[in-house]
Amino acid sequence: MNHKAGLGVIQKLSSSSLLTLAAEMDYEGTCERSIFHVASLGEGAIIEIAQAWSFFCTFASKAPSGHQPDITHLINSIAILCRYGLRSHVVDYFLNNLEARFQEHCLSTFWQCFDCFSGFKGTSNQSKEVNGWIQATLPQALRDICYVKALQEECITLVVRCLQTCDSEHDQSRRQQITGRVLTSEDLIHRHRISVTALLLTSAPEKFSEILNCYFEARLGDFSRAAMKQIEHYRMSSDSDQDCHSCDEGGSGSKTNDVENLPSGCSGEQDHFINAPETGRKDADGDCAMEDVAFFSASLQKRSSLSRKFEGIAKVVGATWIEEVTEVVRNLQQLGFSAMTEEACASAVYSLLKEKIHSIATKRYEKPVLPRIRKWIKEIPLKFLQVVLDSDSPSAQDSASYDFPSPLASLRIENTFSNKVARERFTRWHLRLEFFAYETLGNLRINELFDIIVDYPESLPAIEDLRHCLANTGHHTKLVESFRTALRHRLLTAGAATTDILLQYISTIKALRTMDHTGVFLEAVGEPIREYLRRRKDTIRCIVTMLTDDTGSGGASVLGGAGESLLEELSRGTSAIDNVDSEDEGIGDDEDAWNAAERWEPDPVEADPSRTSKSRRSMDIIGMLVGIYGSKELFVNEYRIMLAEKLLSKSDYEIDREIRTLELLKLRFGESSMHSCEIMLKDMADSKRINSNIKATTTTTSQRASKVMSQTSSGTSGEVNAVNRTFTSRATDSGSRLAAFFVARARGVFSQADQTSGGFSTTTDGQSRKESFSQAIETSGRSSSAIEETADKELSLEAVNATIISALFWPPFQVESIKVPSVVEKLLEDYAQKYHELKTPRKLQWKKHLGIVKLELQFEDRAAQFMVSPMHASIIMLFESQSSWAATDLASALGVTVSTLRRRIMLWVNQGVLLESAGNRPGELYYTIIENVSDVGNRNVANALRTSDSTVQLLGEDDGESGVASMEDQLQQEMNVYESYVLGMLTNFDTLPLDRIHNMLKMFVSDPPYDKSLQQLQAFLSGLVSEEKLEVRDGLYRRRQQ
Amino acid sequence: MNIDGGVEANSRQQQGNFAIAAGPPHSLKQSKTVSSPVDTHSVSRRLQSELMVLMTRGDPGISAFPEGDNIFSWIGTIKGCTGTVYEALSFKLSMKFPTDYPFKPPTIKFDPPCFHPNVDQYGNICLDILQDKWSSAYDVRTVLLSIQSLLGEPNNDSPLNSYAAALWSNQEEYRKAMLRYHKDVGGR
Repeated sequence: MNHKAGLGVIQKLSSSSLLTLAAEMDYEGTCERSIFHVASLGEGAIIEIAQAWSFFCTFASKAPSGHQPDITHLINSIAILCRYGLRSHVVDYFLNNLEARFQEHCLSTFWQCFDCFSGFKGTSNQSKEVNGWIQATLPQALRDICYVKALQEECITLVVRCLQTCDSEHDQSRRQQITGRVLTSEDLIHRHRISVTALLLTSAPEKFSEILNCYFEARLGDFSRAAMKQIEHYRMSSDSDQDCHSCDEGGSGSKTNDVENLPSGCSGEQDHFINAPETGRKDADGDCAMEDVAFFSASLQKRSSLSRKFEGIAKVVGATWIEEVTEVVRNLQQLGFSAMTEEACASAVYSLLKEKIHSIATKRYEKPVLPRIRKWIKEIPLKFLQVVLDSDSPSAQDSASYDFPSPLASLRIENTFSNKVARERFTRWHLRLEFFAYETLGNLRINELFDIIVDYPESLPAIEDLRHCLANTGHHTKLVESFRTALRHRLLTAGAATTDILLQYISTIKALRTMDHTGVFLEAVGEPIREYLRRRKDTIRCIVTMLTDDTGSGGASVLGGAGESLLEELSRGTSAIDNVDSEDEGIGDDEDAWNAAERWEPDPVEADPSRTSKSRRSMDIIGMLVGIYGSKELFVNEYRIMLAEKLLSKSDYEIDREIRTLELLKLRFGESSMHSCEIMLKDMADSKRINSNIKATTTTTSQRASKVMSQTSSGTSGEVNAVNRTFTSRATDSGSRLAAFFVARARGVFSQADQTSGGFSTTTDGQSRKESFSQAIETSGRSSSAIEETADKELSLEAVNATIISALFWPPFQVESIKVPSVVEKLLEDYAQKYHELKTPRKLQWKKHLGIVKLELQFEDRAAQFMVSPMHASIIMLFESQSSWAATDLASALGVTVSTLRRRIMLWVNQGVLLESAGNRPGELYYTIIENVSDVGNRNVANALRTSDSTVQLLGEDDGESGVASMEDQLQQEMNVYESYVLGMLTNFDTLPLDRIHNMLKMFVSDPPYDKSLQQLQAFLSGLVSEEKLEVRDGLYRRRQQ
Repeated sequence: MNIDGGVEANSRQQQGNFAIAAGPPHSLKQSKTVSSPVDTHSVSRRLQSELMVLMTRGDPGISAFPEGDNIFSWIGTIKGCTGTVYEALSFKLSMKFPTDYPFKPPTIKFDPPCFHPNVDQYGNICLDILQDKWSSAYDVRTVLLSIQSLLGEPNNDSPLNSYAAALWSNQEEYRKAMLRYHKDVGGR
């Protein structure tokens, strides 16, 4: 304000209205010196001032013009003005004039250059056109405006020189008076620069930053493309010794490899860069020191020196590129756009980096990408930034000590430290880029985590990458959230098979273990899976199957791979347990304890405080799977059932594999819980021994001793089946021939008297009580019999193989009673008798419906071998004596209901052995044996014919039945115990609500203790209601009146 | 109690008899308080196992179950045996077990009362095994079976309900009176 007012005064003065001048000067109390002079000045002096001033004004008004002004005249006028104390007014007026002119002419033309940028928006072929346009416009515009600016600065230098000359002419005292404010060109240039920058920044349109972005993106693109080309070239010229990767993957494929192959010349750039600025800066400093040299040429010189130090880069992209970029950056910097430049550069680099990461990392999990990205960062974006940043700094040094509002400038300290500063800045950029890479890759991987885990073992490198990224960015919470969402949408749906869910869960466990050793995030992620699995019925069965099935054969092929891995896991887990044990022992040692304490790390903040870190860490995969249900009992039970099924369906006594699995399970679940399973296996081994014992006694007593002896000796393994021969039998009425060759297996329960217990005789298997005494301890036997049926209906004990089981330790069996044909019956009795002789007082109790029968059927025109259940064998044996049966007669002969018979007999009908036909009366069914296929023309028979050479295995799988009661059946049976209680209750209380019944059962039923849930009870009661034993009204149960 | 005149006449007598009959339960109560601290746990275990026997045996016509959450107090149900006047009728019993059970007999009453020569108007039962002939070998089941058989075979020599005892010889009249009584007290 001071200056402006002063200038106003002088201008008025030049129009020679002196009185006004004096008054105004008086009014402006601040310009004391001027007032003094004006007051004491004579007319001549005033005219002198006015003349000098008018000359100065004309100079100032056309100052930045090309031609050299009359220097001496200028110096004189300035000297006059200075003498009268108008020095500051001169300077101020001159600067203001420059500023005004700059604003008037240059600014608008400069911005006009970019006006048509918005026109490019929306055009289809945007990027290319825009880039071309920008490349043509921006450098030129910058050059122009910088040229103007440089000229103006030159004028300032000139004026300053004039002032200095005046100063030197002055007397000593005056000089002393103004020493405090000796004017330098830097001062003025700086002032000018600030005002220019302010003008530019305030008037800059928004699109300018966009333009800069585009420009740098394009330049960076050029650079990276050029680098790629160079690398390509390098790779082609150098021998392809290291690179066997095929490039047929297209653009991205070549990109994946390029970084590794960067030429060593390029990699050596690092050192060059660090050393180079030294020389470059020295030149620049020298240039700046020479004030009378034109600024513009100085910058040109600098540029040439710069190009020297980017030799390596120049090799890649060419010197012109470097020159252009350097110039643009420097010009921008001079105009005060440093912050904007940096921003634009950063965004260009980031977007390229992001694009790069996405192109090489998306959907590729089998290779680690992080090291490649790191290398790439060093090679491409950092090189680019080197050019940009470095061309920044020297010009910035011109105004070393001034406080620019730019982050780039703030780094600048002193010229002598420039090397260090540059290195520091470089390092900062490096770190910044790496962090950005971690973040981008981390986010990418987090979003893909589900797929990564699906390909788990192959995608391990991707998981490693993610681990690194997370270690740097700490986005764990994000990972948990995103993965949980993915799980909910993609895995935990009704459509997913339980096995798949389990497999994914296992992979998740393994993958997250790799990523986070504390298990905190695994816990958070796994919870929804566990919760979901708990709701599925077949979860336990699937887990047990996966645990035990190590053969991928047959129906288990789907589970094969997983089963194997789980079994491996089981064996591995046990060794891990051993380690843990030994570790625990070691902790007794003080030193170890100290070390352990030193190793301790706090859990992440996200951890659930209610659980110890140790419990998290110690849980392995099996433990986590078992932990789904919270207790191992369910698993042990399920395993027992499956083991029983497996053992019962064995036709030999080979149990090595089961023993191995059991041993592993014992290590995990403890001896006591696997106790009954162990006994089951022991039963198998015992059966084998007893069986051969019985056979041995048979052979000694048998009439056909010699023959069988020889056969037994030949079959050393006691493989009785080998002895069997086929016999044919003549059916009674027709001329058809039907032969059955039985290797029947039936199971029996035998009991041992135990009179000490006066307790309640329970018949667990529903066997007739006449065989058993009071059965407090009950052992039961399963016997498999190989029955050989001869033409005269003679069967030898040879054909029977029995599996003798201890019923107490086996899961309950399905109850079913059948009548086996009398021949077989007799055989079984013989066998039981032999057993009794051998192991008095034990007796066998046959479970006739369990077992396997191998039989061969011979018809008039064909023969076929089958492996079927005893029921099926009994059915078909009845057809030996009679070729056609009515369904009712057949059912009564077998001792089953007609519906059961019909269900079972379908097997033979399907095999083309029997023919079902309707009788005369409605509902009456007849079954007839098919002797000649041609008679019937049944296509099933043709099938049977085709398979006749090999044994057809038809072991009850077709009707989905197994000999062992499933968990649900067991539950049903357990509940049946309570039926009498419930009925008793309702007899005495008329009506009771559900919870009352539940509570009473809980309170009064002690043996077995009532441990069912309210829901289970409700389900059971509704079963009773549907059986019409109970009725329910308004939530009250009551007995149904009979 | 709205029974016809004859019954009313007898009811006085019944009360007199009741005083005698009520003796044993009373003394029993005293003995309970006097008796040394007993192991209620073993008693309840015994009762639980008796309950189990009762439930698993499923004898027709008899049933009992603990009442509420107290295992020492049960409710029983007896059905009249076929071939007797009580056929197809069911009677509720209240059974209270002393804490020194099974060394002392349970207190069993018909609740509501029952028309029977050996049952008084309050439902008390005159049965030797529930009093002096009690043995720890008996259990709930045998007691219930005894009561069930008592229904069909009353001991008319020492009646608590002399009207019923007198009427017993005429089965048809007896059944009519019994049904009336049964209906009045709200049995089923």
